[in-house]
Amino acid sequence: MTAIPTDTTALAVQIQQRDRRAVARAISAMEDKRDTQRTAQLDLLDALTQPPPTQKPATQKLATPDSICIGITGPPGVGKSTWVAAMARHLRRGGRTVGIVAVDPSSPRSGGALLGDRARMDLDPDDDGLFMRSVATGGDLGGIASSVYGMVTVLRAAFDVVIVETTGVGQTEVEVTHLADQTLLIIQPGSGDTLQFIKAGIMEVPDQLIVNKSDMGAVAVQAAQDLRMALHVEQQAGVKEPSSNSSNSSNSSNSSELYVWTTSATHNDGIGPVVDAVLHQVATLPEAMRTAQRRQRQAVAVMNLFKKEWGQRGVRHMGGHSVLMERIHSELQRGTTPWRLLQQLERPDVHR
Amino acid sequence: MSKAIDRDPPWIMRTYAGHSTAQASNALFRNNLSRGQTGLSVAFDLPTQTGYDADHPMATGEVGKVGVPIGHLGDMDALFKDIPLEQMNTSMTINATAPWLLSLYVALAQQRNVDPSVLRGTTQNDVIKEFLSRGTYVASPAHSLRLTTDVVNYTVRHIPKWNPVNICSYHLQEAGATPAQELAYALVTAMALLDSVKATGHIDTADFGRVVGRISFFVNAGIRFVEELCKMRAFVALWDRLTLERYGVTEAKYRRFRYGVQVNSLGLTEQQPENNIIRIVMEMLAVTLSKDARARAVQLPAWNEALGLPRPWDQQWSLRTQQILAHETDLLEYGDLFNGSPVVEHKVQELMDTAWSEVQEVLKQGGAVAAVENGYIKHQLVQSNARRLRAIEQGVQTVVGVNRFTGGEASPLVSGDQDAILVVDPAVEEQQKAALSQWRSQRNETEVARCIQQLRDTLDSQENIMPASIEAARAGVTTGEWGQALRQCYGEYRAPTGLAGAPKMTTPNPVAPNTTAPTEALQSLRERMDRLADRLGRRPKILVGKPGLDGHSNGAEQIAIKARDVGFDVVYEGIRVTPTQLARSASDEGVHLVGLSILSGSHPILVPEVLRAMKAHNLAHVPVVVGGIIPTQDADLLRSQGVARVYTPKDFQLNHIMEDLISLLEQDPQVTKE
Repeated sequence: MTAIPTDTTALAVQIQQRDRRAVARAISAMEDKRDTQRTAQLDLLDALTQPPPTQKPATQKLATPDSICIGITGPPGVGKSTWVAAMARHLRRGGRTVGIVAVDPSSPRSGGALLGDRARMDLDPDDDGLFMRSVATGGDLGGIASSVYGMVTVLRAAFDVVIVETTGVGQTEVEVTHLADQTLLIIQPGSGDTLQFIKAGIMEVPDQLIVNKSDMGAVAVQAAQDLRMALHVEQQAGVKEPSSNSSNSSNSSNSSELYVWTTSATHNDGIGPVVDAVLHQVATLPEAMRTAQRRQRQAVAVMNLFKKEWGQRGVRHMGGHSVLMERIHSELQRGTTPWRLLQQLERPDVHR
Repeated sequence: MSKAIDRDPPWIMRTYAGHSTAQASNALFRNNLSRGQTGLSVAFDLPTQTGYDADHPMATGEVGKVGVPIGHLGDMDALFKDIPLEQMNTSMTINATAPWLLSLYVALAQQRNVDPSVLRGTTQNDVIKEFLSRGTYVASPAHSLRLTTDVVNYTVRHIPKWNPVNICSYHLQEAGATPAQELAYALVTAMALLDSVKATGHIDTADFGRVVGRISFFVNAGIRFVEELCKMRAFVALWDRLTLERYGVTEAKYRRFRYGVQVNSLGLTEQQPENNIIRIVMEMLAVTLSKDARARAVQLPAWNEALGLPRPWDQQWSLRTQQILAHETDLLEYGDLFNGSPVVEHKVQELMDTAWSEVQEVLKQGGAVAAVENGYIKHQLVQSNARRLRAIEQGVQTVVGVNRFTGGEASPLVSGDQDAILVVDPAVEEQQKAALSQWRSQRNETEVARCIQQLRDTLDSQENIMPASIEAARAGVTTGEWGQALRQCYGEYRAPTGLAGAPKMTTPNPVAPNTTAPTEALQSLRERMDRLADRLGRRPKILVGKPGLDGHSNGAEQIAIKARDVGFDVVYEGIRVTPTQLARSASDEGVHLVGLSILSGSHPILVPEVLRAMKAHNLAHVPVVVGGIIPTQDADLLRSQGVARVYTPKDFQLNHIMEDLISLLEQDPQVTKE
């Protein structure tokens, strides 16, 4: 049942009209690893990134650029799912439709996975403006499953805001930034995470840093302080520049503290302001910068997906990393969609 | 010979009973009392336990099933018709709605001109373990603890002979706890409660011993009865130490470990079910043999519980078992049989040490409430249960008639046309609904509205919930209205499922690398799953669902874990999911298979509803399998309605179930079409 119908354009239109079953079906299709499905997958994704041929009804969404993708990452146990649920409720109250992809790790022993986010999120089961899909990392241990890139494109075509919740381990923190307009890193007070993040260089990943479980009191304040310190150090080292658009977004007064928030997802406290700030920052980003950022993300995404499929050997075959990256950039510059580009790069004769 | 003088008095003998309606249960109670039962133990149905009226959509299929529906004061009156409250010792298995059911009981006493201060009995009122095992919680652990604390504070002052809380380790063992875990988690729960009572400041320090003295326990006794006997002795010693050291209780009588018991139901088998009566006897010995650690009250399960609801005769057999031990044997003529035994002392010490270090672990995490909210305790239990099931499946742990000595004669007890169980009349639900609307039509609505508002105001304040609840009971407020007030003020809580990795992860990888090679059987299942995944294009995905109010999630959790271990992607949504919600999840998640688990007996209503909802979502092609306590005739019916497979407690080999599921998918058009 996961096969894509030959008429990908029709399916694309159904998705853009937010037909739940079409969305679910397309997402299943993105997970399909059979070679026979590859062309149809890329065709569908390409169709979804094109404006629909017919007049656009009011309910319809364009995949880009007006839909927003937000990545949520952080170590296991910090309450990411509860945070995502609170965020989704806030967005729904504001009238925005929401699509969620929650990624959980697969067992390396069996290949299977326990996908528990649906139990943790407690979302309104009757809300048609809300869709959630649980996904396993599958073979892509330590990263986001390659199918998630396609799923996000499907969801962006159907919903105003797409949220990707990562497993919070391995490389997912970094990889989610290649998908999302903004990435939120959530940590728990008193967990010693801060130090680990600095060591791992993960501080350069997020756009917003969130200390959750602020109901824990003094430890939460301390954790926020630690983060502000850490961020300050990062900035001095020239790793992360504070963005000028975020000056009105924070509960702090100093530019080195711009990204740090404290929230309590279980008490639904402090989530709204973060979400609103994210939406505001994305919306007020100058068009040129927005396009440049999107293109940069697309280029990296194409590179990631190419590597997941063909590995380092494939990259060498294409002339090495720099040559391939250059080619990707120039193709995107010429207006080739990422999915069409991927299709071109994957033509078997190239690799023979 | 002065036989009568030398014998210790026997424990209180009860039978956990109640079903259909208040009237039917009243007849059952009076009958049980006439057979020599010395206390009552009320089983409430799931809507009553979770604060819903019989006509609420969530109650569908559950009214009168696992216990009696008590919707208001009129039902409580009918339940105790011709039973003198002042002479009764009544135990109520009630938790989230314990303040309410106790209020109805007090209001009934007032109506009958019985002084509530003479009432004796127990409200289970241990909500913490509901998050770990039974699942009949409503509010969050912290909010629930506040209500429990209110009941303690109220009864200590106004109903001094009442046991306001029965800290339950019983359900922890049913969820898989080892004896040491049972000890540890019961003790941390008691500590959370006593700390909370202390923090309210309503009890003078000098009186705190009285509070401690009113805390009782409800334990389990499994088939390894020597270890269980030692566990009870360890309980006595640990409680004595804890109450002295942590709470400074100097009077020895207030430090006494008082407990009731229901022996293990988990180990009762569907195969050769008559063997269960022997198991029940052995398990009873664990809690009665030691005089120094003897149960105050005993209730025994019935031999046929794995088949369905027991009939009065089945329960009578369990009562007779107790009467023979207490009145025929010489047990009660002796002092403690085990004092000075080095073997027993050594085992007791070992259990105490293991339990105490686990107590410290939980305290390190912030105590019982924190360790429930972060999923730690649940995760430990799920792991232990998985180990137990694996041991039975691999034959390491013998279960006679199940994995050893399986051949046998047909039992005359179960070989009739009919299943040897009680079947609740399906008309009960409609009767209860009709009686409820009749009740509502005769109330003073202004007074009812005022009482409900007062309940909500009280919940929002720091005031004790009991006086407002008793007033509401008298005004005719219903169980559903009380539950609704609770939900409106505190919201509805969803507990951790125990399936995710332990939350306090220190290593970066939540899936620890395997250290032992998989068995041949498991390996072959994994290979078949891999081939299925290749044919389907993606990993086979299963939705494990628990429709309805039944919160016994152990079975569903074990299936979910096993399915993951053979290679399924498993979506598990937790308990209390409606049929429509399940169908929608199945659709959104793109699953290949749906597995339902229902233990409350409401499968004849809920399963067809799930099938209908799935059809409405264009999912008629997705196979549905059902597991639970499902009598043979019902299983046939479910299959004829379109259920692909039915599993019962007899199917203890999880590998077999998995193999069956894989075969089902291999033959499925989703796969064969390709």
